[in-house]
Amino acid sequence: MSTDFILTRDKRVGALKRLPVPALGRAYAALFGPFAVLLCALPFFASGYVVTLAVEVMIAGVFASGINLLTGYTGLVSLGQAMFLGFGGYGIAIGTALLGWPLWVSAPVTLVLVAVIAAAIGAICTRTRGVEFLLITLAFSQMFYGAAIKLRWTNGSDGMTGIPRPDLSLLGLNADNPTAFYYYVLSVAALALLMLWRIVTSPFGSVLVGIRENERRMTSMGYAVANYKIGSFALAAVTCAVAGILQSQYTYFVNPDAMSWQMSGEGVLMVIIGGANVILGPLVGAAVFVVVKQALSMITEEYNLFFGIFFMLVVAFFRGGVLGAISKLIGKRHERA
Amino acid sequence: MVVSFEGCTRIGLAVAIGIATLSNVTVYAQEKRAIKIGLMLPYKGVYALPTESIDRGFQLALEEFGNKANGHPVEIVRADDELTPNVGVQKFNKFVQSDKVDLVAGVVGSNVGIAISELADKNKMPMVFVNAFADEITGKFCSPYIARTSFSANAFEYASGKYWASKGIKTAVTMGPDYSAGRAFIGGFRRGFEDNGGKVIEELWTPFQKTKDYSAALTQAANSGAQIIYAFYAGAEAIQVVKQHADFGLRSKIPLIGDHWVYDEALWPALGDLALNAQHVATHYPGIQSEANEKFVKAYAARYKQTPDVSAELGYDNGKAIMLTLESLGGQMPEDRTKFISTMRDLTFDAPRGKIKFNAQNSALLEKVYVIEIVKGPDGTLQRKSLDEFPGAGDLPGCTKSF
Repeated sequence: MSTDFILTRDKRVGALKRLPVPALGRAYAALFGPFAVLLCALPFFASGYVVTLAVEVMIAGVFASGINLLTGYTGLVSLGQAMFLGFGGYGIAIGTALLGWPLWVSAPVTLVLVAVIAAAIGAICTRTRGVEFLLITLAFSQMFYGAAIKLRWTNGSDGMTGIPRPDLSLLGLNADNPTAFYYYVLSVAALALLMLWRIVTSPFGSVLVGIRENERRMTSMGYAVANYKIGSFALAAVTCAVAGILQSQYTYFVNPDAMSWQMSGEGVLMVIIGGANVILGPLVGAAVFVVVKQALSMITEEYNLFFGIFFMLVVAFFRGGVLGAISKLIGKRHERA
Repeated sequence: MVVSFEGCTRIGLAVAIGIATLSNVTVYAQEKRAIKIGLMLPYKGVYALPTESIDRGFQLALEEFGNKANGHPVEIVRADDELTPNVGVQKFNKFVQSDKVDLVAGVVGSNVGIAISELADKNKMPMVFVNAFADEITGKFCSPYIARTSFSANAFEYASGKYWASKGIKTAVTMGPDYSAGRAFIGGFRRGFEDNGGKVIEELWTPFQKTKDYSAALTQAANSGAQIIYAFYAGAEAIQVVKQHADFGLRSKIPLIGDHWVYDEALWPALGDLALNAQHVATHYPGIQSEANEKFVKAYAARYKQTPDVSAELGYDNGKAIMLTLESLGGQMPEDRTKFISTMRDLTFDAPRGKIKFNAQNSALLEKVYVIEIVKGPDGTLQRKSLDEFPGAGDLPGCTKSF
């Protein structure tokens, strides 16, 4: 919310430099400082199930953050990001189970391959915009989904089991332990978000926001808009693949469902619930999504119905998602002060 | 971020009360030392009908023991896996960490079963499958924490294929949903059928849970020139296949033969007269003459006002195997939970379907398979008539672990 506001109002928009940290940023820091401490200390006071839910939230948060780079910052709404979630999981599954590579080889190779494949897919998809972009990304992901279902090599629709978690014995830990795995996911998620934050606050990120706001102007200013879009597409894909790796390690399992369009849709929902184009928006969205769904499913069998109503309420009353509503609140306080 | 002091106190008070209540509850539960069984079944969706029967059979088995094992109360915690592996994984984690169950029972879909097998092994949580017939579950994915009280796909379908081949059927087309159990069932039939001189002309696969239209597959089957269609479908999918098979006028041209799920008793109201004179193989039917079965059918009818179908019997076996194991362990879950499963493996008991014994991979064996024709009884209602019976086949090898 805040960053694009500054960009479009700034008279010197032609000389894109790193965006200044908005005043609201400090308010966010005040909000999220305690939150970060809470996350670090969670396993010490919360029950095992809360820790497991937090793992699910963080994994979904990384996935949604990847979508946010593309959807929130670059303005390209994709319904196919789950294919990269699946690529991440299948990548390490194929690497470790079928090729016999250790995890520390499989994971980087997977991410590099995803970047290359995503650049190729992105080069095709980003030639379109709007609904066409949405549909072509959907088409690509359905194509890979169909292939994953049919491929006997990866057990078809049954998926693959036995996906290894990282070997943390150097630190004296066992990743099969929920607490150890929690800290592993927390560090990977923090790194991924930090990387995304660096990207969106860099000049590169400013160009992406510029493309979202006024693509024609960015072109006339001499930016190779097409390349920036492909770059954004590939980076988003790699982030989603990181989430896919974490997800498959969390469940020791990957199957084609990870690539379904419902999964892509859920990711976009998380972005909208939390607040698009705010770096922590997707994480908040993922938290709301996972926790509300879980709570509703404990109350009623037909939780999807109520979840739909909840989602409509968020869209109707919280323009800019939960974080948008919070920043509006903080903004009002600032004005009063 | 200014919260009034008053607000803080109020929140603090609420939290304190909440914690106090919660800790009371745990103390209470510990005193009674209840055994918690997590029952995971797909209560909604295409398998909703068989699932209801399984749940009923399971409850009936527990009630037979007065919901107690050696004086320790036994509780059921239910969860819906939605027949989706990812949901199953989430619910399994909830069972382990939030509900703190002592063991997990149930699971119909083999796709969910495969996804959970690794988790059960890693979490050292005994998993007693009720269905999950795919051969890999107690084959490639076998574990000292996993048992299955029903039977493997091969045990049932290999024997079935062998039977039909011996009855003068030379050619068949198969139809099934394209997922692990479908592949396992049809694969078992094909091996049994072809090893005994039959020939499967074509295998037709339909998308699992994603289609209601079987016309393309049925047309292909009709044009194949085979003598029979052999199908594996269950629940809502079975209703549609049987109905569309009749709508296409194929009943006289190429009969649809299948197992007990295709013509499941729970589906008879939906199928109407289409079920009449259909032939199928079954692992259980209410008319089996044995003490265990007569007792079961009577108790089920008294409790639920209907005759039990195949799934009810499977649910009953699942519950009964668990209760017998708990009884012989003195009503407690042993520290080393593999002992629970190994105790179950040593169990032999008379189930309504016949004698249940387990093999070395913790998979129950199938003593008998019955060939059934659905006929009109004297009171005009549909009934099952046994035409023949034959023994079940063994399990496929594939388990490389020893336990």
